[in-house]
Amino acid sequence: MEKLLLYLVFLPIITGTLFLFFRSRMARYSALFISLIELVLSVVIFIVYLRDSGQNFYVNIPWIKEWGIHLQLNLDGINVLFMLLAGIAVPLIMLAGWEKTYHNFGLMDGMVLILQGSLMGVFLSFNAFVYYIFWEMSLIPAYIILLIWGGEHRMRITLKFFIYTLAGSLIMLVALISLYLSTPGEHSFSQDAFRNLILDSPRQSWLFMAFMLAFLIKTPVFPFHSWQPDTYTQAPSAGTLLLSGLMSKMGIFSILRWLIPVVPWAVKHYAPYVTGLAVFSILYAAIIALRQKNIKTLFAYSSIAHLSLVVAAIFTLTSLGIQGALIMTFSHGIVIIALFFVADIFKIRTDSQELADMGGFRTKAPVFAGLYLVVLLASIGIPLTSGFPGELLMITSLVKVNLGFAILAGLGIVVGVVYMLVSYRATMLGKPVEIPFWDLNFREKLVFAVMIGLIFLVGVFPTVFLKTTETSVNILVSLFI
Amino acid sequence: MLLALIVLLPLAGYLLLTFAGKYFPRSSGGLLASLLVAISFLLSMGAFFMTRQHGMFVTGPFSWIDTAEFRASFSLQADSLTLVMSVMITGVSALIHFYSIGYMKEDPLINRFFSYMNLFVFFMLLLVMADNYLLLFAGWEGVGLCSYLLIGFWFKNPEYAKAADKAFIINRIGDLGFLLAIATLYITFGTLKFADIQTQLQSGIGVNQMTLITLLLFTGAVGKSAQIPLFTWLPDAMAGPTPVSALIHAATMVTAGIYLVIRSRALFMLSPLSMHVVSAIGIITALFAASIALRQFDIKKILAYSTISQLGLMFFALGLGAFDASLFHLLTHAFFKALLFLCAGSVIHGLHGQQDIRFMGHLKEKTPVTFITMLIGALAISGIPPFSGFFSKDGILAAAQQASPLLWILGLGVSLLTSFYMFRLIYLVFYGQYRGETGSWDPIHESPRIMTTPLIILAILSVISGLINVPGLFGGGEWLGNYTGLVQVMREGDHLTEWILMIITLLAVSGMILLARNRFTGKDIPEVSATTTKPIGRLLTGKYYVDEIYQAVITNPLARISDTLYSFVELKIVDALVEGVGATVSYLSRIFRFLQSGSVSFYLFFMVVGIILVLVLNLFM
Amino acid sequence: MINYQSTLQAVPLNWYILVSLTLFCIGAIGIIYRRNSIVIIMCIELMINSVNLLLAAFSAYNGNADGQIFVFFIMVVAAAEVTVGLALIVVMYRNINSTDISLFNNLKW
Repeated sequence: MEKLLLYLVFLPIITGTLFLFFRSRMARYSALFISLIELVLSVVIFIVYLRDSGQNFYVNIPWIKEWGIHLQLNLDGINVLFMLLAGIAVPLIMLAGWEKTYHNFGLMDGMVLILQGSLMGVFLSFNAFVYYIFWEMSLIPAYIILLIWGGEHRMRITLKFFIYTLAGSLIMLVALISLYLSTPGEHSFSQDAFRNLILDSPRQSWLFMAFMLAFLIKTPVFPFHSWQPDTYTQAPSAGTLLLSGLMSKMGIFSILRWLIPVVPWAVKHYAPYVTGLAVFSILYAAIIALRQKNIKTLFAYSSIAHLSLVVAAIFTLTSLGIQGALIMTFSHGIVIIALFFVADIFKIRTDSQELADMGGFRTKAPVFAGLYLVVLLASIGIPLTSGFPGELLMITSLVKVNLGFAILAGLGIVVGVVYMLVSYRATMLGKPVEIPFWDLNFREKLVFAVMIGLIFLVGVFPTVFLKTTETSVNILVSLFI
Repeated sequence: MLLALIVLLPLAGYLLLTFAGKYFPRSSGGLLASLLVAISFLLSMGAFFMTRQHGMFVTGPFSWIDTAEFRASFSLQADSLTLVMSVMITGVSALIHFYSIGYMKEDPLINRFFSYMNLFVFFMLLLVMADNYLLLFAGWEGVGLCSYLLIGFWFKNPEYAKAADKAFIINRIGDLGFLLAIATLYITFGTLKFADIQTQLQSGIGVNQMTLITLLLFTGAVGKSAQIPLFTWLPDAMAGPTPVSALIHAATMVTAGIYLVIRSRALFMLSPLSMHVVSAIGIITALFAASIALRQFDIKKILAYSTISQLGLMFFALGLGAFDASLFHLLTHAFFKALLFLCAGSVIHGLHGQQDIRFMGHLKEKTPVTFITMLIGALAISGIPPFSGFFSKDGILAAAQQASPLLWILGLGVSLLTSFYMFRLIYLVFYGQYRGETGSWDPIHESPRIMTTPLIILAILSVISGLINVPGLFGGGEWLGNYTGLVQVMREGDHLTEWILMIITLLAVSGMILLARNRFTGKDIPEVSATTTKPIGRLLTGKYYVDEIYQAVITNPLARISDTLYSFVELKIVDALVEGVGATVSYLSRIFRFLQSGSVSFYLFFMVVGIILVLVLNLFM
Repeated sequence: MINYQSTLQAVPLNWYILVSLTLFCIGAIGIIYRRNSIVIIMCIELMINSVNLLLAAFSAYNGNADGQIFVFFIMVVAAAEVTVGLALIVVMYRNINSTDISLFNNLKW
């Protein structure tokens, strides 16, 4: 039981590095196989945790003792859903891009696996330095995937993405080192040591700013979001799926793991401002999405809006809000991957991502139209889909804290309905455009079926997922009562 | 168990038709769907009769959301209110399903149509049978979704698709209010179950809190039941096939708002302000919509505005505390409005797609069954005894009169307008001369039996359903009010006044009918032969230009804001700052690179100067 | 014993400092302005020797032998450094056939 987390992190990294050296299609199959093993592993771990959260998953391997850097991994209510998401999303992403040809399959899939491993490392890590290593490690595969297979302006956009994110991360590194130096006695990077720190207000304030900068950039939230729409649009489909589905969750997770327990005074003090900023971000991103003509850019802004709502809910510092945020993040992971998969299907059929080139495809592809609609409904939070429990809990938490914020956030959701429906109508309804558009093949249907199955699973049985987070969230919230 | 079966049968129909639809031959899909709903109806009737012995039904609870702080479950309940609603819903739905087998016969996607209809019935039943606000909300959103699917059913037409979007979006705005209400309810009461909230009300909650919650709930109702200011989706929703209009936009979905308020009546009664708001919006909408109906030329649009107007009357009654009168009118209206819509569908079907009443006329010869049933519907809605509408409207007017004579006059006004536009429709469609294109008279035919039979059944219901709540005035037992427990004890008014007012109403309404007959049957009908030139006529025909106002005040500015935010803020400010950092670094580097001049003596110079500086500074530190 | 110290101290210390400073400045300016690399090396030597002079003067005036021993060290290091420097000039000459440092500007921006 104890060593399972190690496999979760290092299996994809090691095998991924291996696969980098193979070019043929066989590498795809092997990589898919590994990702399925990861899937099974993460689901099993999830179920074990669900049954008995007292299970000991703690891994502690000493590494550089002099500097307090040990490989510490553990599972608790905060990271269990992220781990599950990372396990589930990667095979789906691989299957989604299965038909595509690359000149070097091993490079692509190896990078995907390394990314998965480093994300697992980020989510599971309880030692700040190791966490930071994995955090930065995840940038490398993303950068390479974007650079080699991206769109027209990929060089400039990828550079912007890389440097922008890196800048935030470096500031976070400074903060982490500062925290390290503050730990008493023999310094340590472990999360327990950080939580037990009692720091004075000015110190907490700048640490808070430093961390929040990194996380607001990563999520992203206005006004640090400008790297995201271009990056998502220019990235190859697998890249966008990975970025939006998994990497965007790193910032949200980190707020819960490394910010809130470590600088509670600052969090409480600045929470209303962050919530206000996040609520503004929801409306800002939603309104911009209204007039986007490129479907990927539209979905990108939609993602900003949803994740801003999550950030707003987290900073209500209530159990309702944080639990809602966690389940919404999980749901968002699945839904945004599904949405970008829809965009990819458009790209494969029509070789275009512009709404103007499309129209009336429902006549030619009714199955696709129906599945796209279900994903759309999940995105806007219709009850019985996975988007709803999270949205409900988050709005309730916002009402608890500030009715005005709740109303604004709700209006943001309403705007979300508008642009989703309008884009659906622009692509699927109306008179058919004279482009060949064939309906989904078996593999595509399978991917959609799994995602939609998950959407309904989480929508109808959210308790299963919510229960796992309860204890840890309550511990977190108790800091603020 | 029984409840679950009632609710799930239509869902089974949806699933079967969606996933196994291609195995069903074209005709049988509709039959299957209709039969499933009919069985649900029979089961509902069964449950209805059984409650007399067994009390209330309860199913569940199957936990839905269960965290320490928030609990809601999938559990159903069927008290008298629910049962009455579900009998009506399943009954009318079954009739409309059978009707649709004939109406949609030629449509290639007929099985999908029935799958959506069944899904709708499922959600509607979920809505009325929920025992807590969250499940009700799930059904609420679900019917909104089905409404979108069905309005936009003929999606190849971009106008229809736009209408579907409009319905969904405006509904969603209302739903935001509902969602906020749920949040506030949970925060205030700690539970969302109706029963639990009722018990907690004893302990006294602040009026302001109640007002907030009820106003938010009412916002949801306004969106769903198409009241001012969220009504513009309903007339556009006539883009859907006529059975959809009959089912969703006459009998069931739009009544969900009324149901919500009745269900929450304990909350509303604690907030006088909310009650006033409900009444006010109700009566204003009623008058407003009725006036628009006077000048519409599309047969379905007339009925759409009529629905909005009648719903307004129901809200008017709710706000006055007359919950039983409102429910009564909801039921009778379901019958005769569905009847009217289906008749309209029959007319459209018979005329091969014509919907404009200016091109109809003298149809009573060709479509007698439709004519008679539609006439019955018109008489019912106008409130002529002994048709059901008379009794239900009387209940509302009586309640209005007890509140204030002015309100009674307003209610009367609505009745007058109603009878006038209704009979305008009847006379222009069925009497007078045929005004269609030459050569189109002969192919007109009566609808097949599968369509006319539901018409006849609904007509009979429109006649007799008045009996379910005969007011005390006539010696009746007010069965519905008593059964559902909604009767307000205080409402016994002065019988003599009631009789007098009723007779006045009757005379006035009859007068309007005769007036309509005068105007609309004759050789030369002014408004169909010439284009309207009088400004008030144009205002009414143009629906007070509400859509245009919304477009100018909301849609266009929003689009402009979006464009500005993107092109200016996003590109020039936010992104510019980021790119600016890069640009600054490049600029600085272009300046600093001149230090690398390549000339050794240049380097030597700086080395020497540097060393001297270091030495000198050392001296001063 | 002849009193060397008092004889030496007949010349005021300030004059030694001035001379040393002058030599140092001449060397420094020579490095900046002269283009011939051999001359630059000579200027470097000049600067080194000015420092030597200063050290010897101070040690004489303080009666402390440390300074003069340091001068020995400096002379050895200077010799080695000149060797290396002249070797570099030979290589430079072999490449561009000149000792003019202004011709050495390939590492331009």
